[in-house]
Amino acid sequence: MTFSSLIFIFAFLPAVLLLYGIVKPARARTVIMIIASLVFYAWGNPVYVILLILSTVFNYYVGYDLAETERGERSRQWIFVGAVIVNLLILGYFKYCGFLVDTVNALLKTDFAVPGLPLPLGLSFFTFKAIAWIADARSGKINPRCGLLSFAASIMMFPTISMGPIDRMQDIVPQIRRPDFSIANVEEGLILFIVGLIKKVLLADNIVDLYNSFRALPAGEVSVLMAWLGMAAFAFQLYFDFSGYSDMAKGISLMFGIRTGDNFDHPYTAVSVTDFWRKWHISLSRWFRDYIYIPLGGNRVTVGRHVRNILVVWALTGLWHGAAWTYVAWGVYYGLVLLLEKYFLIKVLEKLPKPVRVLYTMFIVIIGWVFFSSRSFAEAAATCGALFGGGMHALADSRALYYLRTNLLLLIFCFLGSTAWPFRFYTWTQKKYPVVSAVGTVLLTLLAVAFMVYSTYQPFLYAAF
Amino acid sequence: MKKSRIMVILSGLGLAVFMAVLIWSQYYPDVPAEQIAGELAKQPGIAEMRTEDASGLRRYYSIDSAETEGFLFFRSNSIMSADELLVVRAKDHEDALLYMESARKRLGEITENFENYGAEEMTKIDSAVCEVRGKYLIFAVSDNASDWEEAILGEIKK
Repeated sequence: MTFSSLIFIFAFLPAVLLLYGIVKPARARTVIMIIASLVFYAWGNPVYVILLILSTVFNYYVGYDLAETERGERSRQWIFVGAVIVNLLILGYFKYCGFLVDTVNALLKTDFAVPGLPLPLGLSFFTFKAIAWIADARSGKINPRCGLLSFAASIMMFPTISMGPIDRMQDIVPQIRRPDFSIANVEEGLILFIVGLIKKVLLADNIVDLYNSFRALPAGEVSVLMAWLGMAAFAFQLYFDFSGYSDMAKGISLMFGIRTGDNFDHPYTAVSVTDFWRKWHISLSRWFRDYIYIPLGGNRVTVGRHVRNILVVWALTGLWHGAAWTYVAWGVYYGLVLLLEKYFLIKVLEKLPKPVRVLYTMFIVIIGWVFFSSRSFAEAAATCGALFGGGMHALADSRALYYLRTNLLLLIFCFLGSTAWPFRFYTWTQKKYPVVSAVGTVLLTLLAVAFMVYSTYQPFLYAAF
Repeated sequence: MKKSRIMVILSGLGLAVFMAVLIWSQYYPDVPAEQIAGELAKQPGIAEMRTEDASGLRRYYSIDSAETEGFLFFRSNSIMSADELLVVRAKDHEDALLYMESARKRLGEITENFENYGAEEMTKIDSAVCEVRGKYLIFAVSDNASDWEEAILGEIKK
């Protein structure tokens, strides 16, 4: 069950929301949230519910145990390291075992069997939340004695279980215990949910056709224009897919009286790559900063160590996104660009006009998406070749011009949608012409529902990570 | 020992047992398609069917054989029979799941062909096997479908 499915929008969400509204005691609401989350989780693969429950209990009590200050430092250190290893082993088995076996087979010419278990829903996100919980309990930043039920509802709550945001448990647990459930929040949450739905169904799920058309072409038949159109389509698809999901997750949480963190802040308007990563998948960047980068020493170290820290963090960021060397390369690429910016480029960039800086950022980002979207380095190299006209690629051809003409309106909508302008326009119309604003929202919602009914199912891209 | 430590140990053990059972139950070693073919040849009904090649796989399932690590495809010689068996050894589990979608579409086509007049065939279709085990897709429509499934699983579970 995904947020953009009819069963979720018209059955699951209203039923749970209604029940949550009827039941007043906070503890009962916590139980409803847990049960709803387990049903949501079980929809795809019921067996993994057992894993979810056991992991939740394990991590809660590890945090609880780490707070026992009378325990010796050595004992607490062992528990902490052991618990992190347990979490990483589970993640590693499901997500990276196949990658590891494939790599060993390729290097040693062996033929070990690749495990064929599907990745449990949201395992990467769950694991990162759990590690943050036990790390914060270990360092004394939180009091982990919040009660198992509150912790369980916080870490497994269905709006954020599948694709985040990776919120800190200390931000969510108090809200689970005292949710601010109100008509105003339901209304605000609903608007956010609709915005996310529009992004996903009307923009991401439509622009993907342009990207698929580009990918379906034989490498030799791709013109430079077609390659840029295809990669721009991918950039928009990924953004609207994930930010659409994030808006929906935030909106649903808000309907239940829980404010989650932001994940996006118009990243395609960033004026540098450093700025881009402050605006793209914010909760993941924060996690890596707090639990990897700063413990490694951050930037308060020698230049050599700082370079190492950045590259380690970004190689891990790449690996988090997927079990393939292309993702690692994508992460290291960003590490190198960020280092270049920090030590050389940023002063030059600051002197340039804003549009030039945005264009520079988008250029770097789109080249990054080439590695991110490619299944192999050969495919990435072929795409880069097409983007820069290497080899036999024509500058433009009739096919590219046809795709440009037929997708121009959608591309314009995507461009506008990735800026803050639509939100400003919505706020302005809401103040000046509330009826027009309401009618527009309803019409766009109906259009999105119509697309959902008549189009084929498109899963969220980040669910695979 | 404190309650929290006992709970850590118990839930940790629970996780270990769960993962062990899951890995054991879902572990399917790589078995070449030829080995499965050898076992299938002994099964009832297979000898009466015709073997389809890569073009048949593409035509009926839209699966490119070059993208797989091997396949076995049998169809009935008679157009009045819905009998069909497909075993695909995919490159990985994800690919096998994609092939299962193709198999489901194929099942829909077979259903359309027989639903108005082939009552006996519809019984076979209703009890068709369409599943993914590890990196194998198993799709079978026949009175013998469960025997075939058992034979295939017997081979890949050895």
